Amino acid sequence: MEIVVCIKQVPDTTEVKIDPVKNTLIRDGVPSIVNPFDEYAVEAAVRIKEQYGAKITVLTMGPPQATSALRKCLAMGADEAVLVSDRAVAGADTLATSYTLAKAIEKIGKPDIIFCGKMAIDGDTAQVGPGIAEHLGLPQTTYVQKIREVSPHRLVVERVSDSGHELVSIPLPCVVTVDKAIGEPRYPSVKGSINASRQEIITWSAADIDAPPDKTGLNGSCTQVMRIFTPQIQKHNEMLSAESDDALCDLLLAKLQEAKIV
Amino acid sequence: MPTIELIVFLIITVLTVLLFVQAVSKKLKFIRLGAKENRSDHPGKRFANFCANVLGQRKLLQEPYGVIHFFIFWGFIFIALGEIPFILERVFPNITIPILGTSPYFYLIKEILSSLVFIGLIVGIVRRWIVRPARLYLSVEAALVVILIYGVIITEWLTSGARLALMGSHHAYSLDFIYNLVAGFFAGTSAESLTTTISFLWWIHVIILYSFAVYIPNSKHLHILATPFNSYFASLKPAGGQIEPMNLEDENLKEYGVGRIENFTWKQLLDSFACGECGRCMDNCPANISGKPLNPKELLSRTLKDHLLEKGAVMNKLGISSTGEENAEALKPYTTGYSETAQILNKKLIGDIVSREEIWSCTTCMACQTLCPVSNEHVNKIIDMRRYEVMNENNYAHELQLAFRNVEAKYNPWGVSWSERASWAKDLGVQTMKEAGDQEVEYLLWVGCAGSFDDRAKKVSVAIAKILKAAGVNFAILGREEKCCGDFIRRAGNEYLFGLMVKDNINTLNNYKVKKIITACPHCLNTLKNDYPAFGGNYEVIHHTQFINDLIKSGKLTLNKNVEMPKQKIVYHDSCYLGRYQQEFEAPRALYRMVPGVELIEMDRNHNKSFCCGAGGGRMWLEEDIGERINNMRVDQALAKEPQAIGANCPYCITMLEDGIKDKTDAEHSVPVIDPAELIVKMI
Repeated sequence: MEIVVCIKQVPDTTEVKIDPVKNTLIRDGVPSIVNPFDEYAVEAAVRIKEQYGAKITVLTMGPPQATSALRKCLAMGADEAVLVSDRAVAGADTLATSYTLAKAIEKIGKPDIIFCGKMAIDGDTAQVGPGIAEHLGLPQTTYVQKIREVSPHRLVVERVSDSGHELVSIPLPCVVTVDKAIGEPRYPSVKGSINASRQEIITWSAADIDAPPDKTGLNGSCTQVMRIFTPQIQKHNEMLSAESDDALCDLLLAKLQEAKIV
Repeated sequence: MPTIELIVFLIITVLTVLLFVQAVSKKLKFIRLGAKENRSDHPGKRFANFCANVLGQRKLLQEPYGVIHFFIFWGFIFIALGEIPFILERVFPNITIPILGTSPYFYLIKEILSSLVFIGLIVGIVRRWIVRPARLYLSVEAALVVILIYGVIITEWLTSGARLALMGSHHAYSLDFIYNLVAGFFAGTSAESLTTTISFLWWIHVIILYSFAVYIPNSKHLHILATPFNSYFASLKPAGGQIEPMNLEDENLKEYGVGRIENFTWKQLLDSFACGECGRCMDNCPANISGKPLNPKELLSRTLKDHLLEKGAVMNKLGISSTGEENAEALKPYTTGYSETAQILNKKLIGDIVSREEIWSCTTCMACQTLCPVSNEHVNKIIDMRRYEVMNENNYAHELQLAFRNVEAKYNPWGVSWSERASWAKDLGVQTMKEAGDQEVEYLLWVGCAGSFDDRAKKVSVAIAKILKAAGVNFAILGREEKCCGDFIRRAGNEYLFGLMVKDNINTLNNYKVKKIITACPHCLNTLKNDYPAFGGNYEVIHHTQFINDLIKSGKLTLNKNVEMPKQKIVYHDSCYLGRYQQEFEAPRALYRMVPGVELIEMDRNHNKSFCCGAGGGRMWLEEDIGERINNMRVDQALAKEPQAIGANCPYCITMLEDGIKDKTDAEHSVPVIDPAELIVKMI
């Protein structure tokens, strides 16, 4: 079985603070990590590999520094790592990103399963996984919490939706995005980390994956981020007091009417 | 000497030499199974160590009973020298051996020392068989050797005394009070019967002496032969800087740490043979005393040695130097099945020979090594085995993994957000190296993870910062750029993660051209000072207690001696990493003594024999579920002195002692643990 796991290197947002003056993220010295949901995707793939045998390729698009995120996935148990790194792919939105990743997956081969985390913690869009499925014309299932069955041509998975839990049977090849319930990602063994640090990372440019310039990066994006800001949260509270409970109720009612709440 | 006697003598001499050489070379073959290590550099320094520790018996003389060993050692040398004329004069009656055969002073000294050996052995017997301290084992070996030594000494005295009686007088023996005493007993005996007696006793003596010579390399008394070499080849590095870096980029390196006896270096194997089983290590080992499975003496002199003798014999017989992966195929015929050979070869060093609990009981307090008279190096063996478990087998405690994960993600084992590292200094006006920019900064205050994130240790950091400011010291901190120094990571066997931390820290430090570092944490101190140089980080590192002393001595810091301070008895606890590791015992004590109202008192275990708090070597992050808690034992030792406070100089110690106090006392009888900086800051 061949598995591709798409990952993203993101700033550790638990550590990101907002500059109160400039109203921007302080990214200075913030460590980069593997998007936590993607670690769950790698974990899901490694568990399949352990149980059924599989070759896992981790794939990311990003700057050269993103190799450190790929190495972490190799340490967890992936077999190969591919980095798509090119100025031409920079500044991509989810459309262009999923296109680029889809092109890279085509070059990798014909994987049976493509795993993604359900979303990235820096953008929170949850669109790249589904985008890849669309570009490749593959069936997809998202927010998967449990893989029940793996057979050569089919997966049976549990996914969570607004209306409850669904049991989905999906033919292979397919795209699966996973939720945290899929299983705690393992802490890589030291030996795994050392081996990963010595392993070669395959690096491709846009040309290597046959991605035309008008479909990747800023040019291939149909959305653009114009400004990042922290929403102003207006907090105003007032303590009411009165001589009796009845008077307090009247006072409260008057206030609510004044604010046109009732 | 009659021809027939001469022939017999030559035959047994040759036989003895052969048996001796055979036994020694057999042991050498075992030692040579070990990995390579260069221990021949700086011959001058090594010879000086040899002189101090072997000829001068330096460490032995630190204990009262050690004096006996001093005399036994030198007694042996003189007795051995005395054997030269004793034997040769009979075999070749016409030769004269200069000094040894002629000088009355030589015999005088020899006899004084021999008598002391004679008495010393009695004391030794009384200690072993009657007093019986736990650290000394009763053994047939020990009994046999005592009998042999007495045999050698007494037969020599009797033979030579009889010879003196026969000769009437002999210039060389004129000052030998024992020969003269014995000669007195033989007075009046006929020359003929004296000659027969001499001949008989001489032969008895030679037989005992030769038996002894053959017995030594075949018993624990091999230590007599191995120790001089062990002392010469002892590590020249400081106690805290003896861990060998691993080249993890080397693709040929496939097995990490030591999981097979032959992966120890030859010097590490030699240690086992040098052990004289004196038990100083086990008497001062916090793991052993608190009832954990680790006994450093047992580990070296029995566990590892016995395994080496057993496995080494098989390996030498098969002619292989390694039982690693590369030989797995060739060894298959021997390792399959249930033969004795297969059973020996299939024993795992960790698990079958040394238990995991033993390996993880060590606090790396260095008491064993500091006190070991034969220069054995215990701690590195344990770290090597931990490396195997952590790096190779991925088999180690869950809570330690959590600490590693925290360091990886947050750069500190507490797991607090790295961006909070400088929060303790928020209102103190302490600048960071980054803020200092182009300004020259003389000292870096390395705060350490404890000093940055642990609420108790933060108070010490604040006190130090205030003192430095009051003295006008030009210093800065790294703030968010500081990362875990890696001390516990390395000593818990994770050289990979240690390497990541070291690389980042050295980059940061060298980028700011840091030369001098002050730190409150003895663990950081030791790692920055002794571990970092091998990775390209060379700094002058000083503990805050040392630095504050310097500030006071140089007049940069003046203390207000009139400040109102409570009258209190403070009992002082030496931290391992400042005390034994840096041999700094005085600086913290001096600071306490400067504080009005403080009476500084000592625990029974102090200085080099100080008892660990239990947190070193990664133990801070591990559950302690075997035996008594080490920190509680230390607190008991402290409270026995009825102090009003306990003095300590290390954030780990402060935490451990405070935890122990909470465990041991009710709120009413609780005593605080105080770093000297916390008292000095009140006097500025």
